[in-house]
Amino acid sequence: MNNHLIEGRLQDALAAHAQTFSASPDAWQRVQVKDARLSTQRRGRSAALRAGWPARHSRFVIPVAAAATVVAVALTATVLAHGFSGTAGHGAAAHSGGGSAASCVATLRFGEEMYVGTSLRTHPPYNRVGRIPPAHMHQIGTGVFPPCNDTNHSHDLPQTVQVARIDGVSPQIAVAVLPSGSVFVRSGAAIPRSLTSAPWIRWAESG
Amino acid sequence: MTSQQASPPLQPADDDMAVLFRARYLEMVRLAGLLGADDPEDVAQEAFARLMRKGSLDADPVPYLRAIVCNLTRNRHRHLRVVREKTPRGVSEPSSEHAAILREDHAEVIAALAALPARRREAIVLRFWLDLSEREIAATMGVSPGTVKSQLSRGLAALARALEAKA
Repeated sequence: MNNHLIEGRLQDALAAHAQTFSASPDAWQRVQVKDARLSTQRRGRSAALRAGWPARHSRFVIPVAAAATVVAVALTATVLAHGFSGTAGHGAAAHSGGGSAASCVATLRFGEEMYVGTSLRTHPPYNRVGRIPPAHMHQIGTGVFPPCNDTNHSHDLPQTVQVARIDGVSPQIAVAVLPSGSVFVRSGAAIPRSLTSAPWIRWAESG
Repeated sequence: MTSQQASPPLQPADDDMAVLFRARYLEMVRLAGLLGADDPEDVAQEAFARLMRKGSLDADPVPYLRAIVCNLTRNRHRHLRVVREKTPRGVSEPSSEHAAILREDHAEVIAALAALPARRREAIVLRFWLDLSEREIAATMGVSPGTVKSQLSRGLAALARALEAKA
């Protein structure tokens, strides 16, 4: 068969076949989820690579450790003061804003997915916490805080909660729980920048 | 080429990556699809995620993106070869849905293309769909221009034989 003929048929067939592939509307969100996963994997790897780090940078160890301690204390104060449940307490206890803090991670099951509680923080020194105004949350269904049986003889029960979509954020990435507005990010995903940079987020000193 | 059409809606900030995504995502999906990826969207998304991890964008990141798509698709073929041995139907064959959409003569060409070794298929798709030069194809595939030339020539010859046999 003539080469020109083959090439012509090839071009036509490839162009026609290419048209059969399309893009899904949530593609960008999926890229972000993958990016967050890759980021987590890289962090794990680079931590292992830094095994020889203290020997080379020993003069920085004490200042860095001190700074980390200060940040950790500030973060703990933030989480406790706002009841915004980072990963420190279980949803039911942490989101009610009262009672003793349980030791389970704040998780939310919504549909088939698991979400992890997080607070909206600014950049270091993390002394401000963001809240989502009710007008920017839209109920999309109900989710469940799994029970937290973290002590002997405890019989915590699952708690059904209202789940809301946040303006500008795919529910595949993050949702809010009503009425508190606590943010839950899908397991493996990062807090979307579109949320932390949204002009309507109300920032407040964590005290 | 045919690649810069209706891309999906974009939500987040209009930074460089978002602009690149808007302009090139569909092209990458289609490239992966033409190379026989079982899930072209997943390959394209993985390619963009890897580019994001790289940190900064090159002056022209598109060749790098294409190279990632080619590598990921090739790796996937390798992985799926084992699966394919255990299933009666080849996973990289065009689906019946695709076959129904394509005209019969196009379907013949695509089927013949699918039977080529991965490298030849890559060279042919990059040449005849994306219209890249041999040098650009070589950069994308990570081989020499001479290798591209021979892959193209052998690929076209194999296609001609396959199509003549069907005629």
